[in-house]
Amino acid sequence: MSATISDCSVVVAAKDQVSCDLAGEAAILNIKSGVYYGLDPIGAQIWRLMQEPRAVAEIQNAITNEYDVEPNRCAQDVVALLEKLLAEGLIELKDNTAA
Amino acid sequence: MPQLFLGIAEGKTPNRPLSRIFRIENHDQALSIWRDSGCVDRILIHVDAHHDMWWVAPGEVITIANYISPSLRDGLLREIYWVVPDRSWESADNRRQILHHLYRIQEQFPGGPQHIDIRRDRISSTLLGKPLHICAVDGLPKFGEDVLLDLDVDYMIIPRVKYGSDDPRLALPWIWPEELLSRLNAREVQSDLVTIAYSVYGGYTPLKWKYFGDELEARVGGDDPGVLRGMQLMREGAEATARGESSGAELKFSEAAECMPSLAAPSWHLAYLYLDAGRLSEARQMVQRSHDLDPSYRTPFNNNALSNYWDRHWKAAESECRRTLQLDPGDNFAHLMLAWLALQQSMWGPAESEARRAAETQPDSLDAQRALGEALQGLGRGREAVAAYETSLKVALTGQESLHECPLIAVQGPRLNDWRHFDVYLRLGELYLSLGELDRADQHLRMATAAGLDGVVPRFQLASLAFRQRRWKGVPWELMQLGKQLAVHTGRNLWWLWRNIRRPFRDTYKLWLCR
Repeated sequence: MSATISDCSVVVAAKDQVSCDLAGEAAILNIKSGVYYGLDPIGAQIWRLMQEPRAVAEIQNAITNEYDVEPNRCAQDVVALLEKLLAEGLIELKDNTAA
Repeated sequence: MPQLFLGIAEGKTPNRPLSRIFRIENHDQALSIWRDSGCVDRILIHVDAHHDMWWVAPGEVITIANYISPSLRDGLLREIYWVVPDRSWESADNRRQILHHLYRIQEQFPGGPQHIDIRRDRISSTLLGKPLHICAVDGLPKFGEDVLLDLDVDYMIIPRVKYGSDDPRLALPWIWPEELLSRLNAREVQSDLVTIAYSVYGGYTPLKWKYFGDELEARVGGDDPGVLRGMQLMREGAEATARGESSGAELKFSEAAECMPSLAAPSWHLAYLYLDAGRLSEARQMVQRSHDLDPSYRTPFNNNALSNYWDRHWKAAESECRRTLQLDPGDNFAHLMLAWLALQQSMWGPAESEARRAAETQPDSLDAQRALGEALQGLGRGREAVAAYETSLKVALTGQESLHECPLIAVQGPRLNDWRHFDVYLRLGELYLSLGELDRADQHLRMATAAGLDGVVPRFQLASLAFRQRRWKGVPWELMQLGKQLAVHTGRNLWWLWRNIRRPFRDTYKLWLCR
């Protein structure tokens, strides 16, 4: 069963990866699969926030506070990115209290 | 019996439906052509100076070095004839090179080594239970059916198969396209599907001979007499050039250009002829014309510099670059190559200057950024080096590939085949250590070790970082990893010693087998 991500979910970077800051961007290597990923500056910022368990809503707030973006659009984009990262095994859901 | 080439060689219309002919740049494209054509249980005649049949497991990356093995595994082929250049049979030592390849191929294939039948004109064995024969053109048997004919242009340029060293190169081809087709014709080879690989990318076929692919197609396909006349003029021009008869060569190439106005090759040959004669502006015009006619002539493989660089012929590589820059001062690949050559000699200033020129012409060249980082690191400009290295990593993440290692023959997965990519993380780790940014140093060193660049030095650095950052819980783990790397390092050295001690005995035995 695949987990879903909601505003209440708590996400954290998975253990089986190493990552690196690249002048604002981020590179991530999944140690299990050997797949190598890059994140743009906004993705890298979200990634940095997830180095500790963090509620999705908190991440969304951090992004809307920093960038001129409509909150609903931001929420959608953040969840879409997190779902991709989850599917690739780069993050884990700590506490999924989705309705 | 109807024959594919007979009529064409004599300038007549073929007496059977023409083959389907595909010209491709990289040889592995042949696999998809065979698949799309629904090939099942066919005989393959692979005319090539390289076998292209390393084992590749399902799901692994298919390259020019291994595309034949999936064709065998998936039932497209039932028998293979690898036609090698003639000189591969001339001496026991040359035959031994072929045997070396066969041993290595069989070691990789499931089932391991199989019985090898060595005859005067042919070596035969099996792969996945299917017959594999290695012979020269004249050793081919007569087939009573259409075969898959797979031609590599480099076959005509490389006179013999080599093992473990660079391919020998000649000023002129050892066999010309019409002669090759004539000899295949003499063996009554019939084919309904012909694949012709240029193999320029990777440095196997020099760009000046790329047109052989077009000539093979023209001759197999029975092209118009004007083109065939043009191809003949190209040969006469090349032979005149080799004899030092530049005015005769110029005449031939100019006539060839008139016969084949859409072909870039005559202009390319003329450009070098003019360059050698000191007629620089005409030479540049010819290069421009060949680029306009065929954009693929603007390639890192437009000279032998990369091949010479990989073969460690530094002076020859530099000379090629200087010539190229005379013809096209904006050739960023030549600047990049000069930067690499300067780096080899630790000439950091010239390396920086050449790398900057390459990066300015092509900002998304990860090699240029990487070379710039290396030069700046050598000059002790740590912050600037970090910026250049990080740019190179970002560029790599957009999908750009490095020319440093030939990417096409990398057998490993595509994501990790450029080991220098992760070497940059090691270098960044060292730079950040020297700049006192310990967290960043730790991140980069971990990335490098996770990617496989594990070793005693990075593990020692990580252990020392754990001490310096007072991460006491992590210290035992880092020390354990360091101990493990020391053990691995010692084991590898012992294995290397053992291999080198027994090598002369193995080689003598193999030579005895080919006597």
